[in-house]
Amino acid sequence: MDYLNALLFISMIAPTAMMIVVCKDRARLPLVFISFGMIVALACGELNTIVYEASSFSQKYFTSNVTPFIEEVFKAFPILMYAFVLKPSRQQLLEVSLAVGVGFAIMENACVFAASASAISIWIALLRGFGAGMMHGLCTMAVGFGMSFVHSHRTVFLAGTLALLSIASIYHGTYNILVQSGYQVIGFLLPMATFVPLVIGLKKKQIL
Amino acid sequence: MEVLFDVICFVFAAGAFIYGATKLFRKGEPMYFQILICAVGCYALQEVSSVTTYLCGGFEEDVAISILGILGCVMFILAANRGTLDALVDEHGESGKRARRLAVIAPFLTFVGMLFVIFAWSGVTRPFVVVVVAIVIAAEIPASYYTLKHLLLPKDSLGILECTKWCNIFSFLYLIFAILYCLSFTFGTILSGVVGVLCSLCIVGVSVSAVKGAEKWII
Repeated sequence: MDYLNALLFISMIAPTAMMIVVCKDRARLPLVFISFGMIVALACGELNTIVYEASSFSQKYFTSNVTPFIEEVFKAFPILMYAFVLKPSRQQLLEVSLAVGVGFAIMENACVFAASASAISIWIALLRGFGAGMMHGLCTMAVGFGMSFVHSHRTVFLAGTLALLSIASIYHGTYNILVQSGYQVIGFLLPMATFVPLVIGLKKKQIL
Repeated sequence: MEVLFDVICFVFAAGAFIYGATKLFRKGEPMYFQILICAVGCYALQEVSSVTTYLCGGFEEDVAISILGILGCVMFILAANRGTLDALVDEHGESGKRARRLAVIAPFLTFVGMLFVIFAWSGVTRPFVVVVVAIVIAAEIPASYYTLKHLLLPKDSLGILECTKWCNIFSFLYLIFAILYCLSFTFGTILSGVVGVLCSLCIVGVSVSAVKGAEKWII
C-alpha cells in the first residue's frame, strides 16, 4: 500500500490527540510533542524518498550520511519554536526534546516494521524499539540543550546549537551505519550505553 | 593504513575528552572551558564515526558524515570565544583597536584556504561534496577572527586572557590544521593521516590548557 505510512500515522495520532484533550497541562506537553515527533517522522520519510530519488547516491551512503542530517534538522524545528515563543526552563526544554525524539522513533519503527513484518522477530523489535527510541531522544535532547541558551546567550545558542546538531547528526549516522552492517546488535546497544548513564547523570545533577 | 591514523586520533581525543570532562563538567566551572571540552568531545565522536565507517566497509564517496565533526569543533570554539569570552575581555575601546584590525588577517587567510580546498576538490568529486566541505571551512571564518583577536588583545586586569592564552593558541592551530586536513585528502592517505594526528594533538592541547586555565580563573 502506498499510503500505509499515512494510515499508521492516523491510527497513532488519533488516540494521542484524545489524550491531549483529556490531560491537564503538565501531562499534556509531552503528548503534544510526541505528536510533533510523529508528524516530523512522516514528513522526513517522504522528503528522504524525494531527495534520494533526485540524488545518485547509493542507499547505504544516503541512509548513513544524508538522512541523519535531514532528520536532525527537522526534529529541531518544534523545539526551536517552543524555545523562542514560550521561554521554557532548561528542564522543560529537555523533556520536550526527548518527547519529539521518542515520537519520531515510534513513527519510524512502526513504518519499518510494517514494511518488513515477516522479517522482524520480538528480539529485533525490542532492540530496535529501545535502541532507536533512545538514539532519537538523545540526539534531540542534545540539540534542545543548545536551544536552552536562546534567551540568555545568543551567540552560544546559535553556534552551540549548530555544533550540537553536528554531534547529533554524526551520532545518528554512526548508529545507522552500524545497524545496516554485520554489527547490528552493537548499533542497537550503542544508544542504550549512552542514554542510560547520561540520564542518570542529569537526574543526579537535577537538570532533568 | 587510514584506519590506523583514525584510531590514533580517537585515542588521543577520547583521552583528552575524559580528562577535560572529569575536571571541568562540574557546577561553578567557567563555561568558556566547558564549551571547549565539548569541542574535544565532538572531535572524538568524529573519529569514532570514521573508524566505524571503515569497519562497516566504507563508502564510495570521499566524504562521510564525520566531516561535520570539524564543523562542530569550530562552532564550539566560536561559541566559547564570541559567546562567553569576548564580552569579558574586549570593551571595544582604543586599547583593543590594533588587535581587532590585525585579527582580520585570520578570516581572510581562512577564506583563501577555503578557495584552495574548493579548487583541490573540484573535478575530483561531485559538486555536492565540494559544497559540504566548503561550508565546513567557511564556518571557520568567524571562529578564526575571535580566536586570533583574543591572542592579540592587551592583557586585562583580571588575567582572563592569560588563563585562555594557550586554549586560543591550540584552538587557532586546530583551525589551521583542519583546513590542511581537508586539503590533504586530495593528496593521499598518509598525508591526511599525519595532518589528522596533528589536529588531534591540538585537541589534546586544548583540553589540557582548558583544565590549567580554569585553575587560574578567578571570576
